[in-house]
This record gives sequence, structure tokens and C-alpha cells, in this order.
Amino acid sequence: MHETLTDYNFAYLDEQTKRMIRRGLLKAVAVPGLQIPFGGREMPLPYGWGTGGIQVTAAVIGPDDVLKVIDQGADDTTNAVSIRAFFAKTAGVATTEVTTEATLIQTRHRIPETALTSGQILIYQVPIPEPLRFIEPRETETRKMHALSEYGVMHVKLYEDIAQFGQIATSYAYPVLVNGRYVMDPSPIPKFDNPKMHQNPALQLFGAGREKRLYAVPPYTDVVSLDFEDHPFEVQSWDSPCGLCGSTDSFLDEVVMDDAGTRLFICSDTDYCRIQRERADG
Amino acid sequence: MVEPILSARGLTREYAPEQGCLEVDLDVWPGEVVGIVGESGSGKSTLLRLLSGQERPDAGTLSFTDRAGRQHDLVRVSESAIRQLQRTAFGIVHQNPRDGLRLRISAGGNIGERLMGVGARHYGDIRAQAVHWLSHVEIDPARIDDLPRYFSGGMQQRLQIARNLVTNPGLVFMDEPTGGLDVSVQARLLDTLKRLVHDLGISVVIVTHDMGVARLLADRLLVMRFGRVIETGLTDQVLDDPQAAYTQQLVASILQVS
Amino acid sequence: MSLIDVRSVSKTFILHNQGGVQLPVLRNASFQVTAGECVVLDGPSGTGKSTLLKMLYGNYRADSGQILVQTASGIEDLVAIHPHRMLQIRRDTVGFVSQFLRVIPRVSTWDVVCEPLRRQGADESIVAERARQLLQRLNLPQSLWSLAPATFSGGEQQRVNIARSLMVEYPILLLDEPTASLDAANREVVARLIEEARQRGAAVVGIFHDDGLRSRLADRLYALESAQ
Repeated sequence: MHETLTDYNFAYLDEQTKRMIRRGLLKAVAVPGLQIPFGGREMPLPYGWGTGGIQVTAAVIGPDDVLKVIDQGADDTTNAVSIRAFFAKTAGVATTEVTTEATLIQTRHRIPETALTSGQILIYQVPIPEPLRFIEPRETETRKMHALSEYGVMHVKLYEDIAQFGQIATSYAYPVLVNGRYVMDPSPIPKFDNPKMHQNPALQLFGAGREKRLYAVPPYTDVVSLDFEDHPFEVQSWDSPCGLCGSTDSFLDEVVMDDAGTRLFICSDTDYCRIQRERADG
Repeated sequence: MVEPILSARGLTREYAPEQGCLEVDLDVWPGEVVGIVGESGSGKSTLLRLLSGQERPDAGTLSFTDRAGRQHDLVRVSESAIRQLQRTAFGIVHQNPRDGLRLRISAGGNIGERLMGVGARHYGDIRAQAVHWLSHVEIDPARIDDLPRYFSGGMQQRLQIARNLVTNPGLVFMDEPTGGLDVSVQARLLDTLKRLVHDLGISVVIVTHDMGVARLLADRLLVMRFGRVIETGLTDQVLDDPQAAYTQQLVASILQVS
Repeated sequence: MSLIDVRSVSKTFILHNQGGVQLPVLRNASFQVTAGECVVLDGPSGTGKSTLLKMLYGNYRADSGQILVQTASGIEDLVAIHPHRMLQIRRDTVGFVSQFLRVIPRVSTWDVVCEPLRRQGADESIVAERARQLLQRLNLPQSLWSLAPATFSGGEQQRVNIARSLMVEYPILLLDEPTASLDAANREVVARLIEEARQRGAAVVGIFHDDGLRSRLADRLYALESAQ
């Protein structure tokens, strides 16, 4: 009787797949902001749940890495918990909720408030990687537009916002120009986080599982949000500080507290909020 | 004498034996309107696509001189350069305005797109330009934020023209711009075109099967049949004193409304 | 000095769609016109007078011969020049007063009349002054100036046509029955205008059926014979 394999390969993916993804990531790093196709695999969760981000993490993670996973800034949501558990099981790596302790951070829709350092890798989950898709449905055409820097339509979108709303209404997935060359969709992070991408010491990797695209922003790369001279890029602000820690410089979520509609604004980044509270306590 | 801005020699694109556009010679001078007439299948639309760089010829030469006096070999130039020319130095007005407009972008956005594509970054200026061009093509500037989906055919066509003119092209290509519009709307559009050609000093190459449109707009005509130019000359000369048998037939078939 | 020199011009119409029947209309037509001279083309109907006149405008083609005209660039042969050059000559050198106005929809009388001088790039105040003078002399009331001529009477349309054609002071002026639809008073105005053109040195070639005009304006007659 022969033995059947009962264990997963390290980090779930087979070595050939990891090699393929790493090659794609190297290309992506070499051409900041350009979308690189990759042979996305079937993962044990459906499209739309972070399969791209998971494949990128699986390709770069090593046994000595410390993994943090956040979903909308929180470590304790269902998805973040599940993905963290997935890698704990298939790679046996240490995990953490503390940003400064992590070497790899997989994120859905936020950049941590705590500044990242050289040597850290931030891995974004991306639904639709193509910033031009809103206006041009043809892949053949969008590839040409990127190749020829035909980005007039991106500003048309911002123009339309101003014409309709008096200001640029795009508040997340706000398009950016990377390294002065490619226009990129930064994934559905709030525009509040866009400035963090600029000249960040960490490596930023992006994975879209359903669309099968990778892209990257190497450390210390220029990332500039698109705008008009007379309507410059602005980040969101709130009237009140975080209700838990008092922070005035973090992204706040609005939470409805009771049936009477009482609202509380609290930091979306749970780790950051905890640090602020601890500092306040003593 | 001033040099032509567009010169074609032996321009050929053959889809099937003797079908397409065969060995066409053509010059277009600054400020003139050249009409290409012929029935369906005569090759006129193919010729227009070749001249405007939308298709590459199988043989022949094609040279364009932009407003700055630079010469471009349109047969050999890269795709990137052609697309750039099509967005700045050329205008291309499609028969169906829906092919030449972004229907879900406002009229102002449609006009401003080319400007934003060449680096315009001041919202107020772009908007002012859009207002300017809307009035130029006789669309009420109050409709600047409306979507062209809700415009009439004639208005869509005029918006398409404005969208093309905003980068001050030296040469505009039009394929049956009045097709699909009813008669009074056509008259108004032709009027607008005549005035713009004159005011802006642009050259136009217009394909039409409508001799009335040709007579009204074109300074010179090329008559095409089976892919070849069978007669060419001043519009009034070709229509009043046609030499070729086919041209005589074409002219004789025009309904006279006196 | 001849501004116009027609040398041995011949033309035959070939009607391809009627069995290729040939209609010779001109055979070796030759004549000259000097500055300040008015030559009237004479001959019975069908002898090619109108055809010849139209050839001087590049509207009809010649089969053979030469039509030499004096332009600002020198002497040019209208039979051999490029159509593009003919457009320029029509703008600056040769004017044609046709028998009827070609009606363009929606354009006002004022704009119809002003166009030839505007096209030359003349200053708008000069254009306006000249247009006003001509329209007034041709007895077209100001109330009509902003209207498109489509609804005018034949006589009114023709007067608009004449005003338009005389805006530019062409060195060569061609007239094809310009007064056929006009009353006596307006015929007189037109005669005066043509005399003025002659006086300023234009070479005039015309077809007039009105004997009075003929005898008043013609320095010479050029008689055409049947080319059959």
C-alpha cells in the first residue's frame, strides 16, 4: 500500500506556480505600475475574496516571515482571521496584529496608519486592476492605451465628477500615476491612503485573482494622484476625532451604536487605535 | 504655389482582386474641401480610411504636412505616431456619431478629452474651451453637462465635429456626415461645416454619395468606381461637364429640384 | 495688352449614355480681349456661346487649344492648369456673373453677397461698405438683407447674384445673360456697373440678348459659327 500525500505544500501552492508568480512579480517590480498577466490558480475560496492577494503572499512568504492580515484596516474581521489561519496552517509562519512586527502584510482596502519600513512587504487584494475599464471595455484597447500613454480619459473621469458634483467625487480606488509613466488603480483603498504610497520604503505588491494580473510599486517610487491645477487632490477629513483613542490623523469608520442612530467615529486601523489608546493610558 | 498638405500616390488596398481602393493619386491643399463620390462599393470609404491612417495600404505612398510644417510618412510611421496624429492633427468625423463620441460622457467631457489627452490640466480652461466650441457648432452651451445619448442625431453629429476641432487640426476626414439626418437637419449641418471650413482654414476630405452635398461643400471632386478614380476636377466642372460615361450617368441620375 | 487670349479652342460633347452620340459645339474658336475692352459673344442659339464663356471660368473643359489669361503670376493656360490653381484664379482674377443665383439654404443675402470679398481676407468694414453700395444701387431694400434669398423673386435673386459677383474687382469679368430677368430700370443699373468695370481696366466678355445693352457695352463682337 502506497502512502498518500496528506500535507499541503509549503504555503499551499506548488513550487512551479510560485516560480511563475515570482517571475511575474519581478517583471512587475521592473516596470512599476504596469499590469502583468499571470496564471492564476484555483484557490480554496471564490473570486472576490482575495485569491489574488493570497497567491502573491503564498509566492513570497518564507518560514521566517511574520504575517499580518487586515481587512478594511481590522485584524479581527472574518476574512482577515480566515486568511491568517490559512497561512498559519499551510506555512506554519508566525502571525501578528502589530504592524511594526510584521514582515508581510496582506491587506484588503487599507494601508496601515503606522508608517512602513524598509524590508516590509505590503500585499494588496485587487478586484479590478484596470483603471481604464470604466470607459473602455476592450482589453486589447486598454493595453494599447497604456502602451501609448493615452490617458486623456482618466482626466475626463475627474472632469465629469467636477461637472456633476462640483468636486472630484472619487473617494476610493483613486487613480495614480506611478513613476511618471503608468496610470494605476491602487485597489479600493480610500483616497486618504494614496499619499502613503508615495516614496514608501516598503515594497508594494498587488494581486488580482479573478482578472489574473499582478503589479507592483518598488520602494521609494513616485506615486502621484491625478488631479487638476484648479481642483487639486485632497484627502478626506472628519469633524471629530476617533471616539476611542482621540486620533485626528487616521481614517475613521462610522459606526452606528444603537437604534436611535447614535454614531461613533473610530479608527479603521485596529492596531493603530490600540497603540494610541495605550499611549494615552500611560 | 503652396504645397499640398496631403499627398497620395498609387495608394492601394485590395481586399479581393479589383476590390478596395486601387492606385489612387490625390492631393489636398490647405483650406480646400475635396469630395470623394461614388456608389456603394466604389472604394471611397476604403480610400478615406487609408488617407486618415485608420488602415494601412498594401502599396503606394502617403505624406502629410502638419500645421507646423513637419512632414509625416503615413505609410511607414509607427502606430503610436498615427494615433497621436489622429488625436491632434487630424479630425475624423464618423458617419454614425455614436462611433465618434463617448455617449456616457457629457458633451463638455467629450470635447475636453482631446485637450486632456495632450496634457491640459486646468478644469476651468477646459470647460471654457468646451463652451466655446459648443457655440461654434451651434449647440446651446447650457447643454455642456448633458449626455450625448440624449441628443438628436444632428446635435450628436455637431458635437462630434466640435470634439474633433478642439485641437485645431489642419485636416478633417468625414464619411457621409449627413447620412441618416433628415433634410432640414442636413442643411443646417452643411451650413455649419462650410462656415467652419472657412473660418478655421481647415482642409476637408469628405466622402459622400449625395451629389447635392458634394456641390455645396466640395471645391474639387474625385469620382470613384470599382476602386479607381475615373474622373477628377473642380466640383462644378465634374457635375456640369462630366467627361466619363459613369460620371455622366451619375450626374444624370441626380433629382433636379428647381 | 491682352488679358484674355483664346487660341483655337475646340470642344465636342460626347453623350456616352446615349449611344456615344457626339455633339461638336466649338471649332477653333479664337479671340482676344484687352484691358478695358468688352467683347460680346455673338451667334445663334447652339453655337456654343455659353459653353465658351464657361470655359473661360474652368466650368467646362476644352478638348484642344489654349485659353491664356493674365494673372498676377503671369500668363497661364486655363486648359492646362491644375484645378487647384483654377480655384485661386476664380478667387482673385476671373469673376463670373451667371444668369441665375445658385441658392444656398439658410445663408442671408448679406452673407451671400459679402462672401467673395471676405474670402480674400478683406477687412470687414470695407466688405460691409461695398456690399451696402452694391445692394443699394441694385435697388434691394435693406429689409431683405438679413433674409435668405430662397423666397425672393427671380429678379431679386438675380440682383443678389450680380451684387455678389461684383464685390471683387476682377481683372476679368464674364457675364452670361446677367439681365434676362430684370426690368428696364435695373438693367440700366447693371449696364452702368459693367461700364464702370470696363473703365477701371477690366476685360469683359459677355453674352447679351438685349440689343440695347449690346450696342451700349460692346467694343467688339466675336461671332461664333456652328461647329457642325
